[in-house]
Amino acid sequence: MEKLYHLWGRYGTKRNMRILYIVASLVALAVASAAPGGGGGASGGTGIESFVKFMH
Amino acid sequence: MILAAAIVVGLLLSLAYHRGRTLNQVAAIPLRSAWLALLALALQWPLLRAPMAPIQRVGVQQVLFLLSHLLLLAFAWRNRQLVGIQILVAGVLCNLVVILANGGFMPISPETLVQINPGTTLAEWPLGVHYGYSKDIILSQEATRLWVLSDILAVPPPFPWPVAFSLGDVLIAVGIIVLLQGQSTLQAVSVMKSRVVFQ
Repeated sequence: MEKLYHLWGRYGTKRNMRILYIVASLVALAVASAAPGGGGGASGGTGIESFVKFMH
Repeated sequence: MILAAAIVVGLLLSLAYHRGRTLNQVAAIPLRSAWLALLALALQWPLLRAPMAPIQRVGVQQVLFLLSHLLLLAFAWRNRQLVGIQILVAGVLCNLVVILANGGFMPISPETLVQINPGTTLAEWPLGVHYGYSKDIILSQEATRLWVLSDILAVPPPFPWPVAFSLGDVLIAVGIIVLLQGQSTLQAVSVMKSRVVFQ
């Protein structure tokens, strides 16, 4: 727990929180504004199907 | 998937240009009301988790999906001063127009589905059905309005994640890449261009 507090103190800066917020918003924007599936494009069924479906 | 790739490409380009200052550039992007994008995604989530089924069974999810576009447009309006957002909005509008013209879903043809689902046949993709875990409806090319704006582009295997996407998606991807370069990069590029013009 103490280590967590230490990490939070070190990396939980206002700037890093802002970066996290912006990147999360851009990911949401990409998923939400893409026409078909979430990640942008309707996914097919081959390859790592479960991963792609999750992304959608 | 191409949009996930756009974020990675955007960050890599920013890294190449700004080196150690990439994170500062991202932090400096003056995005307003970004929570609207998160809320829009939350509204779309039920449709994105719905398996393949007749469209009547995803009526509620479809309404939420269409409502989410109001939030996306509001977000775009709040950030209309950003070049990346202006490109992105063009993509969103392209997608929205074709979605509205085809009953509230993005059309995808059985031919495209066979391309991205190798081993399947046209008969396995019934027309008029919601294509599971997506925003798509399966429609023939002839029955699709504004076909050119629908999911006609495909990256088939051997690409590990076969995917179909639209012209609007391409614009959205470009918009995100531009956005991730930060305003200062764009201003620097425009200053360089104007110097070239004056010389």
